[in-house]
Amino acid sequence: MYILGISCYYHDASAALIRDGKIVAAAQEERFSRIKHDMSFPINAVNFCLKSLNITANDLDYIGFYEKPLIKFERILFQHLSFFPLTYKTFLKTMPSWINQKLRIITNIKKNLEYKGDILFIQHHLSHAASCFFVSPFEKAAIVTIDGVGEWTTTSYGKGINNQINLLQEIKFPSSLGLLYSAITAFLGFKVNNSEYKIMGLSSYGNKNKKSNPYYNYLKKAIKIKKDGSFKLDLKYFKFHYSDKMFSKKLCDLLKTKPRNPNRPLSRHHKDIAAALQMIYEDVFFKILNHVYEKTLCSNLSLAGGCALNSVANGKIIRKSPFKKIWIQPAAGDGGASLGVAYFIYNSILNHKRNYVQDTCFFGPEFSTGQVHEFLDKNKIHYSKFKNKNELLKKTAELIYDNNIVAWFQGKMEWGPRALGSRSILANPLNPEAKDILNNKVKHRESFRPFAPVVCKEDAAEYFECDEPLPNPADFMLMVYPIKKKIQKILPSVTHVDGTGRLQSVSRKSNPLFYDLLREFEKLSGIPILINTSFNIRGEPIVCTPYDAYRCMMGTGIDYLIIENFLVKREDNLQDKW
Amino acid sequence: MVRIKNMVNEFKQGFSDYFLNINVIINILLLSLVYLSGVGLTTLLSRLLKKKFINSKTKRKTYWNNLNLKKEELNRYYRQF
Ligand SMILES: [Fe+2]
Repeated sequence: MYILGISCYYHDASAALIRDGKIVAAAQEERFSRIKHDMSFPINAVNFCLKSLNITANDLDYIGFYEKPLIKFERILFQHLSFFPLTYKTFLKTMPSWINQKLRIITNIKKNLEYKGDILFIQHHLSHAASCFFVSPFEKAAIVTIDGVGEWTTTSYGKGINNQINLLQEIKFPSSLGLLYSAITAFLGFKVNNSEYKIMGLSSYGNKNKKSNPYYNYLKKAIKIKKDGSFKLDLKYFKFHYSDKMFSKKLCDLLKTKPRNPNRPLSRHHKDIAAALQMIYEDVFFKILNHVYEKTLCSNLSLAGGCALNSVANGKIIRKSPFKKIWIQPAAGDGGASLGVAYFIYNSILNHKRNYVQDTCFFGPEFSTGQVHEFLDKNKIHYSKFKNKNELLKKTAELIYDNNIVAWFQGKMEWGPRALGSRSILANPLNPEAKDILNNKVKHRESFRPFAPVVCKEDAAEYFECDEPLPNPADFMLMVYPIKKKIQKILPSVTHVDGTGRLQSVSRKSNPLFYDLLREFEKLSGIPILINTSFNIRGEPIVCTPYDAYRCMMGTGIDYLIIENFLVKREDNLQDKW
Repeated sequence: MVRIKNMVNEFKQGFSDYFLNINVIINILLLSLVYLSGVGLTTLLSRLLKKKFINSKTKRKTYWNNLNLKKEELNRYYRQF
């Protein structure tokens, strides 16, 4: 039985295909269209999914859509009715896409895919919930979903037992933790729906003392929080409910400062505002978790929704809440909802037993050695070929140890926003200059952002003050933990200003080649840790194809590209530099 | 010959840009009409009737709303609402 899930028309369009309850292929449209957070109909992602099984759309048993468009439209109309005439501009801007796309989703799916079968619509937060429960290792779990907004829901929780989910309670738009986070992201001069994780990183630089950080108390006036974690935003500080702006002038008055101009440097107070926001997010988040535990009495927690990518808060769950085990969907945002809807149809609606645990995220396109070889030859690229896997591992480890920046392109592309060892850029964490080199040569990103360390799973506790046993979401770079004091000095490039690191743990079972590379590097350096950052040019999605990879290398200062069995040296191909 | 071809192409381009602009203007006018008459009048009516669509200001013990969302009959999933 084939079921295809689709999410699109908000942000992060994606498609996911499952066969008899197992994930076959899944990818976000942005990787193909090369438009970051592409929200258009995921035709390329769908075609990739179908092609991976050599089937056509009419072989599918069901297509599922990740939300109920008419309920969402009702919310949009109610916003217009509530805030007339302030919504005039938004009405003109958004109505054409509702008329042409969003309300014609059935026609669009059938036309784009030449599909004649059934299309099912699942509530947005139910899709999120399914994405983190049905593929989790738990038979029974509490489920929490937090995002910007779905149809009406912005936060929900419930319980999953075997192949059924019951979402018990919700918080509705316009009260939204995700939108609060986005509003402050905009206030600090960063891009909404894109840079929230940067604010999370920036928060570590701010004053984390609730008493002495004035912005904590100011910002708390914008949100009423109940003991049970439920909350309500004071709308006078925001504009997102009636315009495409996120915050109002009153928020500037509340915070006693102007919004930051994106071109101006970050000051002390910007960092304190980010810290205040993160503290408020965590206040609410842990109150919600405690409430959910009281209501569900379940010690397993499944988490999804865009806010589940807040790895700083995630790293504290075991310590600060009654939950003992956690599982988080690596594609926790709307991109992952396509997977959720497919599983909801298979497990819940069609009542199939659960038969799959998602312990990896490699569901994207892959390219055989032959295909890569052909690409290199066709484009007259200078390269050398490794004789075998051992030579590949040894040479790559040496190059990294010699402080080269190495791009690593192997196997199937990752599902979710993180590069986890298929489309990664690797560097030596022992090199105190690594962060600056990476920033100057490749990433050109804000200097306050640290790079992530990837570590062999068995050794994580030696270097990090992490929960033991290490929760599975650490495999997907979803947990931030303190780095042990004595290690911080050795690994400056991956140690954040507050002594933490967003680690990725790797087991041999989940990614043997990447794991073996860490072990090979350990032979040279004494530590099984590498810097792992996403393989992309700033502002572009992570690379997908050999062409994207080569283009990225030649457009940046990446020294070497290890692509399947081939080694491409940038210096040998300077004719393609641009 | 090339000059004539270029002229024809430019004329074609100008023609299509012109119609695109007309299209945008008509869309804006129509949408404005719908907004003012449809949304505007309904808002007026709802304000007279004191009907609130979102963000009720009532003081509450909790902001959690009961949801009880679980598996429904298959036919309900064919609906977009
Ligand atoms: Fe969402």
